[in-house]
Amino acid sequence: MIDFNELFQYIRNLAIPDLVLCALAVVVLDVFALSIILAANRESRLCRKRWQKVSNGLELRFWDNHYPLEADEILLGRHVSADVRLADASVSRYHAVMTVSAGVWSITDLDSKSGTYVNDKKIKQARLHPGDCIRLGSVQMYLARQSNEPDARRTRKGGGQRA
Amino acid sequence: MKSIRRGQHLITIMLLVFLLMFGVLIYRLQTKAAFYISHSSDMSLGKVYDRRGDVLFDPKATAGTYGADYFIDVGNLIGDDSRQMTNTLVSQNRERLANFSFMLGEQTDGQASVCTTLDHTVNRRVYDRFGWKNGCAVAYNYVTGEIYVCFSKPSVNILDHYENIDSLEDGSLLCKVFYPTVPGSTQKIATTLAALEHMGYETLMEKSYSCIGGYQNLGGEVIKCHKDAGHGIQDINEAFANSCNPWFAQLVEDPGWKLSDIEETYHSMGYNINNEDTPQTIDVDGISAFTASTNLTDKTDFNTQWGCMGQGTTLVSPLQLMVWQSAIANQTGVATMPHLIDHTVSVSGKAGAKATTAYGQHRMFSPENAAHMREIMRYNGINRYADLLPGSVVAVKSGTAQIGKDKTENSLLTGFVDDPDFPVAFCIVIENRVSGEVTTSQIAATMLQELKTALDN
Amino acid sequence: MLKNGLRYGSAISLLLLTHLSMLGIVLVRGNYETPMDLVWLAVAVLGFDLVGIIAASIYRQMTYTLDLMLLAILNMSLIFQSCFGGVDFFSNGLKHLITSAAAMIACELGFLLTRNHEWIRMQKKYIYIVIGILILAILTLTGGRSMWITFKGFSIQPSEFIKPCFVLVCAASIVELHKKIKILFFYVSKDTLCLCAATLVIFGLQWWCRDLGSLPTFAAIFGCALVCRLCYPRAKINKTAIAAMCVGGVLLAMIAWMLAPSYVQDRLHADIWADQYGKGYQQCQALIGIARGGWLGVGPGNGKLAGVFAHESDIVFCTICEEWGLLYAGLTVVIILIMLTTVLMNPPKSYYHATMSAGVVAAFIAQMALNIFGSCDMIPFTGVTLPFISEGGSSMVTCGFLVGMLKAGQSPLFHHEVPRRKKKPQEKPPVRRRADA
Repeated sequence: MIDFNELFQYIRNLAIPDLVLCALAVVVLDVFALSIILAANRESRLCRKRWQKVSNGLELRFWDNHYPLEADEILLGRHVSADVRLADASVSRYHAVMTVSAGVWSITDLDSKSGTYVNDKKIKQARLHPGDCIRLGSVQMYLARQSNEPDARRTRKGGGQRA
Repeated sequence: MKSIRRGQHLITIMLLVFLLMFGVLIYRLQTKAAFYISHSSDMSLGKVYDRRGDVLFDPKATAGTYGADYFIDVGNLIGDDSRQMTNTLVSQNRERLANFSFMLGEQTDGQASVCTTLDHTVNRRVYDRFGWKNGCAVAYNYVTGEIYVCFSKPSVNILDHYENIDSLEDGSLLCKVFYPTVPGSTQKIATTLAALEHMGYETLMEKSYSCIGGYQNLGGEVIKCHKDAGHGIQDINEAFANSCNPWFAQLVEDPGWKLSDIEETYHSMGYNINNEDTPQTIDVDGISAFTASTNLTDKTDFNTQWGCMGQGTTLVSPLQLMVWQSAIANQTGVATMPHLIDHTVSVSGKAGAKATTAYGQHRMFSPENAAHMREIMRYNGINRYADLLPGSVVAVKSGTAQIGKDKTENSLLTGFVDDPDFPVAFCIVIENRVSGEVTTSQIAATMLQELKTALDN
Repeated sequence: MLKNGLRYGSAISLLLLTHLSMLGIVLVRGNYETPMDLVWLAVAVLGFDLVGIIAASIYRQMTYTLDLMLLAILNMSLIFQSCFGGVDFFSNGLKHLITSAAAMIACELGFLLTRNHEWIRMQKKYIYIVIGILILAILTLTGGRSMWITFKGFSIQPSEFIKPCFVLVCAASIVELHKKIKILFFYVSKDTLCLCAATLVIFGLQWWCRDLGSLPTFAAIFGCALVCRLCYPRAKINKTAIAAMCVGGVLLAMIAWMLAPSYVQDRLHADIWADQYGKGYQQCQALIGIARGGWLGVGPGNGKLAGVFAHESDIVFCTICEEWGLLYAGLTVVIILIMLTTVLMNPPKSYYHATMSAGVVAAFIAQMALNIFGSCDMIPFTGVTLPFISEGGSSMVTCGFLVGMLKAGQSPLFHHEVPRRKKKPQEKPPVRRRADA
């Protein structure tokens, strides 16, 4: 049978300096924090992969601009706060919104002046598929699979290809 | 997408602001920890030493280790850690005395200490010279600002641990050097300086008034002279040396200057006139000392004239009287500020930097008038107090202050040694002095001679 | 072991090692009468760790770091609380262990309720009803101008439970701003009006109950929602509206200042050291305690702050500083901050969750700032609890729930809501309902 009293007294009598003990505890806590950060980083990668599934790994393209779809609701418009800003006078400030659900994207026109077209067909709301051509006013974009080419430039800048 | 990123930025900003504030907090805690711990009631404090290493305060002191009344002369100046007295060196410097470091916490065997400029041996001898009389004395180097002697009687024996607090005499728990007292004729230094500033030296020297034992002022009231027969016709040197009240009453009434002239000089010397100004204090290493105050209404008013002669409602602290001497003795018109702490020693035993000399924030009077005042005081010293310190001229001004309704008299003497090798200014107050008892000049002689011997060694 | 396919062996080992190292400090430096005091504490801490890890492994979710960090913080808090004034688990720690367990359950509840943002958004009216019920409970059951409901020896603070509900309504109102109606000269949405009304009622309630300490937390959540609203693309706010909001905010602050009780105004410019044994007693003792502890502390259970009122709640940071040192107390705060930083490492994918996460972070930051900086005399002392560390069931459960909401933002469930159209031949097969499965 272990005599706790004796054992504890023995450890206390070792007279480990406070500095050493505290430094040890601090190092352990620091390493724990580091391991958590690394774990969060791994989880982040996992979540990105999962999002690829949810969003079907699509992006919006016009010219050489690539817009990855990183939220379940993407606003398209001329306003500076729009997720995809299209600096063209034919585009309304809040033109259309794209939403995703279970891997399928759809687009809804927000009562824009010049209308929203999918594959040259004016729509109020429509499902989107890879390869679909979306036209807002005179700006034309494509929905495509995300490119992994190294020279593929991802951007948030405004612009667009004239129809 | 873009909005989510903005939300992320918002979170980042909040976290950064918090981290920044947390950093500031850690810095504050690190730098102010000694201040915080100094407010702890059970903090281990270090010792206080005099300039020769004699102990002036030891938290572990007992009557057995030091002698029953070893600390009696500095009881209410240095004080102790009991918080019974607040305006003492220990109370005001607990932060410096704390045996504490933020890295290692409280250290009961730390070496934190404060080394003062006091000379305990001389201090005690002058204290003892008062005999059974009460009063106070202070002396400092008017060039460097080091206080050599400072005590107040009655004092308190901190080794008694306040067990006899009910039977202590009034005033035992405060050092009167820092508190107001009626200055008596030592006030005539300030009045003479005001006249020098606003009339000019030549004009003042030409002034001669007659004293026939009393003077009926323009207000119709009589100001009596301490010499019933009167001093006759005198100039400023003689009147100053004779401390002639009728002469100074006539000087105040002189049409050559206005009351505002007197007020201007008084203001620059630190007076709170008619209680209209913010009271000023002199800081002596945390100890707060009163400066001066008076009431002035009309040049022809008896009380105003009486106040200009240091009676009535005029109040000055002995420390302030002594500090004015430095501006005169140095012939600069700027005060040398006194200090008690020479240097401190940290908890790890590392000595801090030696205290440097500090000066008053502004010029009180012109250097020329300081030199003229010095001559007037030297004249008095040479003629009346030649034996204070053999071999040196001691420029002085004495005073007798009437205190309270029973008109008991306090005797004062303030001045300076006019010797560049022994630049000491001082102020001595003996309370309720009657003829035949120890005089301020006897105490001054003891103090200066003892101090000279001690400093020469 | 955990169900997202990632390995957490090192993190779990280090979690246990962290608690073991703390117990080691208690063993060597602690103030305890018999070794059994420490043994019970060790059993409780390691047992809680074990149960927490097993419980986490039951639920399938994408991220587990928040669970591990919550477990780490709660157990650190349990050790801190058990040691105040002398190591005694049964007197100091048992109640805290129970509330910690409740916090873990609340965390899971918060996660399950909010992980599907579309569903929780639909429940907005029920959340408003819950807030209403809580307000009514405060008005009727507290027995006066108080925030506490006392029932058979237990005290509950319903205002704490309003916080997560408030975060949820703030987030819900954000995404429905495009449906605007014109009132006088302004276009406002019904949601905005409801949210502002709820905010005013909550602020009024806090004011009435003299619980002004919690006001900044609610203000921070609302402020965060407001900023997110400005950022939200579909919120068509013009410059006039922004200027009007700024002026309104300043006016409100000025009115609040003028109407504030004198004791509140006094606190803004009070010199605590001038009244060290009066009104400033708690803070002065707290700062003296921090100084006494220094960087390394005086050892668990050896502190003198344990005798000061609210040492386990309002000035708990200082009590930890005294016993464990500023270094360890600071690192504990850093651990909480890292917990909040995981939102940045793994950002939400919906506006609702993004706003909700910002609101949760704002609530935690505001409360931590009020507690830590208030007790250390950097800002007025308000007497709020320190998240996860302070003793108090209501606070712990709320904190747990809020962490659950954070977790939901990182491990969301996307609702299966596909527009009812005829499928095209090239379309991929239907995606599973539980994309994280």
